Amino acid sequence: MDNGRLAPPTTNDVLERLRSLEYQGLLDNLLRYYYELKTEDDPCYFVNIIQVFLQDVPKTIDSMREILYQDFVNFARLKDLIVKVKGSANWIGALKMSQASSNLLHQFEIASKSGCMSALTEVKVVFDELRTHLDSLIQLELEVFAK
Amino acid sequence: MDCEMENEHSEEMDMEVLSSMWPEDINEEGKMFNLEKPGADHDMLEGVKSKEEPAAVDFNRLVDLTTYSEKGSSQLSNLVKSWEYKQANAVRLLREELDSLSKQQKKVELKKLEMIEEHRFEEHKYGGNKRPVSVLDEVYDIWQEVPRRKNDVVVHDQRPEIEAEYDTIIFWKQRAIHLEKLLEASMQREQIALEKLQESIQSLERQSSPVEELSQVLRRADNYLHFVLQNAPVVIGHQDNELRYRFIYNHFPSLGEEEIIGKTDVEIFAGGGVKESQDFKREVLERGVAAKREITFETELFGSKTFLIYVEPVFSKAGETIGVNYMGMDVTDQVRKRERVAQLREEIAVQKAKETELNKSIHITEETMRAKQMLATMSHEIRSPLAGVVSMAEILSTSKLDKEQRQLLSVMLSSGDLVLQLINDILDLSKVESGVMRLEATKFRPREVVKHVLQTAAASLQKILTLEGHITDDVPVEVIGDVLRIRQILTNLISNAIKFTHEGKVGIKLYVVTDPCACKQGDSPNIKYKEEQSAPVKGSHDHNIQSTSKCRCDQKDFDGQKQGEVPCQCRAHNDETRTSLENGTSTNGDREEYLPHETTVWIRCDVHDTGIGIPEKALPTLFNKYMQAGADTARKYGGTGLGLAICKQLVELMGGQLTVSSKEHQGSIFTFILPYKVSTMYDCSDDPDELQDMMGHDAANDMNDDDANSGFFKFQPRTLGPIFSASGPGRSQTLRPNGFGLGAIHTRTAYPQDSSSFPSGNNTPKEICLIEDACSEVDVTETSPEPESSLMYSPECNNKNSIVNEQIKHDDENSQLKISSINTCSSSQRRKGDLDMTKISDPREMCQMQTKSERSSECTSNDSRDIPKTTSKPKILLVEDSKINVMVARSMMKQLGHEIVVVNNGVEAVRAIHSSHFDIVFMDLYMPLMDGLEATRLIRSFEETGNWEAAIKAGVEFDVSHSNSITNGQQSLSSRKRIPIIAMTANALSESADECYANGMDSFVSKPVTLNNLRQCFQEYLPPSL
Repeated sequence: MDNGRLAPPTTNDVLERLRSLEYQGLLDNLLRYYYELKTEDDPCYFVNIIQVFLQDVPKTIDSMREILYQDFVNFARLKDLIVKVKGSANWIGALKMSQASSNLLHQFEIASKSGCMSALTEVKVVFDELRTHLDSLIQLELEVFAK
Repeated sequence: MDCEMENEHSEEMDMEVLSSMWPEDINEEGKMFNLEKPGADHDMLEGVKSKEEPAAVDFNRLVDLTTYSEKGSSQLSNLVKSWEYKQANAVRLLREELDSLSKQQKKVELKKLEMIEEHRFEEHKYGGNKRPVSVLDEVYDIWQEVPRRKNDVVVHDQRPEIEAEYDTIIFWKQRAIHLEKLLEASMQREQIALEKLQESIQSLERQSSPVEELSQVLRRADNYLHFVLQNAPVVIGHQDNELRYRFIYNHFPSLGEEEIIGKTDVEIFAGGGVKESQDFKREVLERGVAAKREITFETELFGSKTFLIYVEPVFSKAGETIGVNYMGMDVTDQVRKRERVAQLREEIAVQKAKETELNKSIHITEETMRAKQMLATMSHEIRSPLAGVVSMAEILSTSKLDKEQRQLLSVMLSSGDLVLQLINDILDLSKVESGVMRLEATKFRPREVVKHVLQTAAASLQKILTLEGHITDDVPVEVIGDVLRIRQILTNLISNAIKFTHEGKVGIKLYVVTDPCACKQGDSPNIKYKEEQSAPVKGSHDHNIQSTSKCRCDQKDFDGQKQGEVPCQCRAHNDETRTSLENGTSTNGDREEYLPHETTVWIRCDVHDTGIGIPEKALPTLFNKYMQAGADTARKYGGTGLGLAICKQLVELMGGQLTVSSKEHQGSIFTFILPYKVSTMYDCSDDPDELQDMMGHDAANDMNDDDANSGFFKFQPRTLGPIFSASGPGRSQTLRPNGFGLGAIHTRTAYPQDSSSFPSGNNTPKEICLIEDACSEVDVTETSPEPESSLMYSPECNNKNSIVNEQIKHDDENSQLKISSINTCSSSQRRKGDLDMTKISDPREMCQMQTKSERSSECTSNDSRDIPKTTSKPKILLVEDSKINVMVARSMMKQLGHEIVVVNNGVEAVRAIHSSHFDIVFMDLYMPLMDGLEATRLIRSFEETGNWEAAIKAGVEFDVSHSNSITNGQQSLSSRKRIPIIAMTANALSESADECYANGMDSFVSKPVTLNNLRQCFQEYLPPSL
């Protein structure tokens, strides 16, 4: 605190936020590792990863939902999408979402359409929760960056 | 006959057909009864014909029995009573008959009187008063009312022929005649009744003899018994108190009466069971209590038969036992059936027990496998975050740190490395035990492997030890085997030897053995431990040997073929021998199909030391998992006890045997003999790249022929000064040369708790810190494919280093060039980034722009014609469809000083390989359109055949113009070189590994990829010149 204003955030704050998310079980340490990889010549690397994730996953989820609500389910396409969303979650270390995706894959493997639907809903819920935190994290990182 | 019937019985268990107890064909007379179709109207016993004497009887004895025994008396009295009752009944019937007759007589007399009275009255009436005759007189006949006797004479009413006029003389005469006739008939009936009465009385008198009556009763009973028992498989008998037969029914047919009556069992029969039978009867006789027992007879007379014998004592009226009655029933069939059933039940029970045991075993095996799998998975799961921690610590170590922080960090790193190493060990063990460990057959040079291992060990040596390597001349220059695993074994054994040796020598000796079975401990030509030396000097090689195991004779080569004696020509290989490469058979991957001109050579390797030795009692369990020589050893020297277990399993997996011989305080020799394939054809290839590929990971490009053929290496320890004083960003020395299987993180530790690591004396944290502060050349020594380049990051250390190596300087120069190149690249990039950043004020905008630029570069990179063709940097292809993965990988590559070309699926990867040359390919497995495995297969197909037909068949379309331009060009040849393809997979389990290898991939790294993983990959697979 300085003259009644909050001190500008620092890299430590971002790391602290990441740790907090890890503590909540939403993330593992991978994102923090990526954050460490951030270099001066690629300062947006970390933000970009998250942004790509936040842009890609909703589209994939929507596509999956669309497939599942059709009378004739395109299973090959559905599997591609499930693997994709699972891979994305794994790559940023979104632990909870990865687990939800695994459940979705399991439901797919046992050929349960209703199971897939409920698992997909779970994925969506987890993702929405994660998105809130990641949006906030991006905001924080951008503030650090702007500093 | 019996046997046949018995067989039938055993077959038809449900149908009970009783056979005769005795053989049917013993004689014709043996058929005692003839019972043929007794009809319903026939008396059952009428057709029964019995043998004259079906039983052998001593009648006197029977009389005695009936007279004196209580039972006999009561039976007789019963018979008498029965007879008396019958007689009384007959008397009663006769009396009734008499009463009836007398009544009839009285009635007749009465009637007679009445008639006389009537006629007299009528005479009086006729004389005086003629009464009128009624018209009904004709039907009036009083005689009709006279009771008639049944079946007696019938008297008809005979009327006078002449119907006389009433009350005439004629009438009365006729009447008188008629009455007279009636009277006569009555008199006749009376006479007949009297005669019959007399006859009945006489008959009663005839039948009144009780003996006859009883005899008949007995005869009938006898007949009945015969009828019932004639076919029953029973023997009934009576024996007196001396157990001599007095009566026997249904005895064996061939025996005559004189052979039985008056004799005991033992006098009649001979064989098994007879004595037992007699004893049993005697026992009953003495006890006075009836009993039954099953006795099996083995007699010459009737063979093997089992009888159920019931014996009851016979008491006299005084209560004394005067003999025994017995009944024996042939139960042979039943016993056999019972035994068969019992046997079947037993077999079923055994079967069930076996099944249970098998189920248990299966369950245990499954559980074990599951546990192992879980352990492997857990290890993997632990390893991934741990790798992250270690990697971050690595990054942290590159930042500015004060001395204390650096020391703490080094402890952290070494500890992390240790845990990683432990996990790798567990994974290795798990792989070997679960059978998923795959051996790779690559050509390598044994001398270089030995040299490299010793050199690496010497680099971190902190003791006054001499490291020696001796390879005899007969060891081929090049052999085929799994060099990674062999180096892993050697490194493990050498590090152990160094750990437990404080002074003297540690060395490796390699030589060819002709007969692997004939190897004996201590028969090394240079290392001779002589038993006769009574006072061995500490540190010398001479001491007694204690061996734990013997060599295995039926060892197998890589193809699983049993090796007999090693052909003599194997020894004929001289140093100039070079093996040829044929169609890339030297590459990693699946086991190769060896050609007929390849032979097998057995090479024995001794790793010897002059260390503390191993106590004799610890030798048997030395190779067990988690076992060490003793608790003190474990405490003092650290380690987990996995290293030797892994070595042993690896050696056995390769068809060899690992043995140890040791003497406490004098030293140890670990020996393993392995079969290697040797190509007998000379290698005519002059292509240095091919040669390097052929040499696998150990061949040094710049190694001259002298080095390659040198038979002796010697390394002295460097002075401790430079090790402890030097500083640098590098990591501690690691020795394990294992590959990238299962995404192994090749971080090695100097922390001497594992057998694979080199000792550094006592394991105090302080010392660990000092080790971590040591110069970084050791790291490079291991990771670089060039042994001599190990010192390139610390030229100042080289001056003080006493490693006997001539080429250090040359390599230092190279390495410095390389570093400067990388730094230049990085700084230029950084400057470019700075420039870009200055133009953008809004950070969000800037980031978005950067993302776009990355995506555009990614898109353009799909067109392989735009791929920059530089010679200084390796050309890396990343095949990955996930944008995030691409970004992460790109960032990491950038940090490692590399640039990558990215394509999004297998089809694009094939096209990229088709149009350009790449030094290494990182391939995702699961992608749309075409997955990584198929793409790899197509690429490998091209490398083998030189054409892309397989890819075209798979539906990959190539740019025709570009294809034509390169087909005849130089690029075509270079692109046919085997490109290392590294799978990037999230599944690090064995199935995934197998799949990768089976499809031609060289290795795989598990996701998420870390800097360290990538670095290891480059060091492993990129040519050193890049």
